[in-house]
Amino acid sequence: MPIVSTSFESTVQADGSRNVIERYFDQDGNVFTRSQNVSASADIPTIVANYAAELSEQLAQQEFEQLVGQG
Amino acid sequence: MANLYVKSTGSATAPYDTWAKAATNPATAVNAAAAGDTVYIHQEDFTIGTDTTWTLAGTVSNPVRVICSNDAVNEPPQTLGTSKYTQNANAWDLTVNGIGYIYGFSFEQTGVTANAPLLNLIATDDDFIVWENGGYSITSTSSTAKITIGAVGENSSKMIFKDFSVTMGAAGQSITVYQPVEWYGGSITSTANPTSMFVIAGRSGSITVEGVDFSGLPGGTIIAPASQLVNGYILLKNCKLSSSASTIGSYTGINQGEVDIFNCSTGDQHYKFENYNYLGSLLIDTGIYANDGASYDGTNKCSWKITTTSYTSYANPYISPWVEKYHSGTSAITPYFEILRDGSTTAYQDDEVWGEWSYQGTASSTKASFTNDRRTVLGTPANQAAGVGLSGWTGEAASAWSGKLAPGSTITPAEIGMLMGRVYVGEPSITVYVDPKIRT
Repeated sequence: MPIVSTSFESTVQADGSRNVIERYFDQDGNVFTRSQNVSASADIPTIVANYAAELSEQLAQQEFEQLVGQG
Repeated sequence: MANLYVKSTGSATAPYDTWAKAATNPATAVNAAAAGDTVYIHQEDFTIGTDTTWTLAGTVSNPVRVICSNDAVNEPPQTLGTSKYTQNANAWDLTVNGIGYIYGFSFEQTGVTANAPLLNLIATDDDFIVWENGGYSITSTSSTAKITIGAVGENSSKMIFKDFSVTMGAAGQSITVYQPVEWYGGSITSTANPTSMFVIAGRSGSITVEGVDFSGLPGGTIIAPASQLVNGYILLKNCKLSSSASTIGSYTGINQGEVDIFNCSTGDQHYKFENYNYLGSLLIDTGIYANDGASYDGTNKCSWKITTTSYTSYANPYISPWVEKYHSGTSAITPYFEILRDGSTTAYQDDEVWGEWSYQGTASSTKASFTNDRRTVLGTPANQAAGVGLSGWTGEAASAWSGKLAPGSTITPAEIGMLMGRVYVGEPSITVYVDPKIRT
């Protein structure tokens, strides 16, 4: 179940950092949410893109383990 | 209560009770020590040339002490030091079980190798080890290298680290926990981006980390819920975070635990508080706040930003931590929270967002009473009450709604004591700003 699309929204904080809500959508319509505070200089699109790849790997691993467990 | 000594130039003569007769390998003396004994290890590097186990034969009242010292003259030595097991491009494991205290000893691997040196701790029932001023530093490229605390099916053990530093060498490496661990001081870093530095793998596992420096992490994730194997609890408190690594990932299953983060920051911000679980998250927000609301420094205001996941529902809502207030009155009151919906003027309803309050409502008793403004189980949803209005908030969009969570009728504390409130959010994928201040 790879992540097929992402979205994020961010709000600027008093110290310049940003609170980010990231949403990751897989091909089955599942939505995975991550909230975090990132620094003012953080490249949020890159963070989201990198985490989408990482989350895809984790979901694939979970799916594999479930299939092995069922077998 | 004997003293045993370890020094590479000793004669290795049992019972190793002088520097001259010292064991030449730490494991020899450690495994010869009885409850209450102290093993003094000379400050030097010892090559670990095989998988090694230390069994600390102590008891809770008489632990075995393993202390590194740079004083090879006095018996017992008068000053502390540091020592380590080291290996170059090998991958021998160190296992430490039993009950004891270790000061100044580290486990180090140098040289590039694909093999995994493991540090296994408290792997038997009823172990209790305190390890102070030590470390684990590896260069292995193996994703299976790890520190493992506890073991499958183990009972009643505990690990405490003080000023203990870890350097991992590859992405999949982790600190995997089956039994409770407390970690005070030191640093945790990696030369690669960890998938999840902490993994709770056993039902008894929990992790408390305070005063640890994560700023050396080049990227990756400290806590990936998707990597958690059971429903444990992780607390990070007063830690320095990395500006390049994420503290937490997203939840992909319900048994992936709860995380609280108190006063952890990459910089000098001392007000941060975060709570995460499968149903939602809470962050401190200083961009949107009630003008007369909670302050993080006596002047500047903040709110709680609660965001729910897609799994949240009326029956299974995200529940915020409690807000507490000492209440010395016994007259009828109506406690309430101010809340804000940003980006929409539509009111939240009482099956989407509601409050719950706990008060001392039982005369001559400490027993708490509860009230809430949730839609009744078989009821019809109704809008929550209007709040102070948008003029009472700062930072919201032009389109927003100001609301209030308050019980439908007054409550009357029968005793003075703690008045507490918390917020439930039972609607998936929404955001609510809460002024974390109980108003009456």
